[in-house]
Amino acid sequence: MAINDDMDYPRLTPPDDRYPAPGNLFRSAGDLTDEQFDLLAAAWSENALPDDSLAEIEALFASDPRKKAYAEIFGQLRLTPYDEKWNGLHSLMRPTPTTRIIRRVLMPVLAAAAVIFAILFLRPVTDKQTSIKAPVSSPEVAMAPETVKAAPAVVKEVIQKPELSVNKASPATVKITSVTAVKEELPVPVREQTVKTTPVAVTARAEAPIIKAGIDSRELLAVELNEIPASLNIPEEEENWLMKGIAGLSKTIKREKTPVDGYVIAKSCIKGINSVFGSDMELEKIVSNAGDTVAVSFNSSLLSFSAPVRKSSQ
Amino acid sequence: MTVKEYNNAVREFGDHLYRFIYRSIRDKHRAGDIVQDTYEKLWRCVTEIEYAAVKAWLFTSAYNRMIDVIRKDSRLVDVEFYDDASLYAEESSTDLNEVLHHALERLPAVQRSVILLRDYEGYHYNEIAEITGLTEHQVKTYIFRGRVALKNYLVKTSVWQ
Repeated sequence: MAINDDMDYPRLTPPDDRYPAPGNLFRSAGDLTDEQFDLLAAAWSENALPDDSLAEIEALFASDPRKKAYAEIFGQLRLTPYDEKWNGLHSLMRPTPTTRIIRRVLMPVLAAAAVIFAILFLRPVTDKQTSIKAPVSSPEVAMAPETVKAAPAVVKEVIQKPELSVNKASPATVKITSVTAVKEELPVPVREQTVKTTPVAVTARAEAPIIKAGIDSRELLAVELNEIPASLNIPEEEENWLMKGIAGLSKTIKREKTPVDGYVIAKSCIKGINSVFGSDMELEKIVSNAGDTVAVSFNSSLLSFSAPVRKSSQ
Repeated sequence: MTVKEYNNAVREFGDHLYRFIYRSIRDKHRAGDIVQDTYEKLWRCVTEIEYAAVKAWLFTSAYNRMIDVIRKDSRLVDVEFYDDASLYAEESSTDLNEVLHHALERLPAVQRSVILLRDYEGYHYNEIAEITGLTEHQVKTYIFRGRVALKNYLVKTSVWQ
C-alpha cells in the first residue's frame, strides 16, 4: 500500500469544519451574564476597554440607561489612602558626608571648648560669689571702671588715701597737704581711672608733685611718706581669690619668699590664654588718683567683674 | 544615587511603601520590617540605582519581600473572598472608604496588591506588571475581578442595596 500524506498526518477534524465562522466567538453586550457584565463595567470604569468594545458598550448604555447607572457604581470603588506613617522611618536616614564631618570633628571640638570654657570661667564665678559676700576692708575705694564713669569721684575720697608708693631706688619725702578741707565738696570731672601700666608702684618725686585739675599747686603741702615694707605678706584669711591664687601660685613657682608682682603674672597668663584660644579676656588694674591700686578688673565677652585689693596685697 | 537622594527617597517614599505593605499584609510590625529590609537593600546598592527609578525599585523589592514573608508564614494564607458566605458579615461602618478597606482585606493577596498599587500610587497597568512580575493582561484581570469583589461585598453587607 502506498503511503500518502493522509496516513502520515491523519486529520482529527473534518476539513470543512476546522474553524468556526468568525462571528461565532463574539457575544454582544446584551448577551453577557451578570458576572461578565460586571467585569466589562469594571473595565469601562477604568477606561481600559479598547475602542471597538467601548463603542459597543456605549451603544448598550444608550439603549439601557439603568445598565450605565449600574456600571458607574464601579467608578466609586476607589480606595483612598489613610495618613499612616511609620515611626521608624527616621532611623533609615543616612548621614551625608557633611553631617559626618560635623558629628566626628566639630562636635568634639565644641564639646572640648565647652569644657575649657567651664574650667576657665565657671570656677571664678563661683569664687566671686563667695568673695562678694565676704566683708571688704575699704568698700569706699572699691570701684569698677563703670562705677567711676557713672558717678563722678570726689576729691575727698581720692586724696584721703595719702599712701603713695615710691620707687625703692629713690626714696623721697614729699610734703603734701591734704586738700580735703579746701575742695571737699567739689566734684571733679570724670576721668579715666583705668591705668594699663604694669608697675604697681608709681613715682612721686618731691620736686614735681602731682598737680590735680582745678587745684592750685601752691595750696599743696608736702607730707612725709614712709617707705612701704618690701615684703608682700598675704594673710591666710585673704578672701580675694584672685590675689590669693596669684600669690600662692607665684610663691610655688619661684620657691622663695621675696615679693612677687602677682598682677604681672596674672596678666601674662591671660595673655597666653588669649593667644591660644583667641579669646578677648583682659585684666586691668584700677589705680586711684593717689596712685594706689585699689582694685583689679577682669573683662571678657562673657564675664566682667572687679575685685578690691587690700593694701597688704599691693 | 547620592546619599542625599537616598535620604530623599526615604522621606518621599517611605510612608507610601509602608502603607502599601501594611495594607497588603495587615501587620504593622511585619510591614515595618519589610520596609526596613527594603531600604537596607537599597543602601547596599545605592550607587547602582538611579533616583528616577528608585520608587519602582522600592515597590518591586518590597513586594517580593512581602511575598516571601507570606509564603513563609502560614498565618498569612490568603482568604478566598468569593466562596465563604460567613465573610459577608454585617458591615457596621457607613464610611465608604473604610468599608472598602474592610472588603480589601478579604481579597487574595495578589488582587489586594494590584488594587493598592493602582489606587494608592496611581500606577499604570504596565508599571504594576513590572512591580509584581505579572503580565499586563493579568494585572487588568486581577484589578477588574477585584473591583467586582469589592462591589459584591458592599451589596452583600447591605452597605449598598
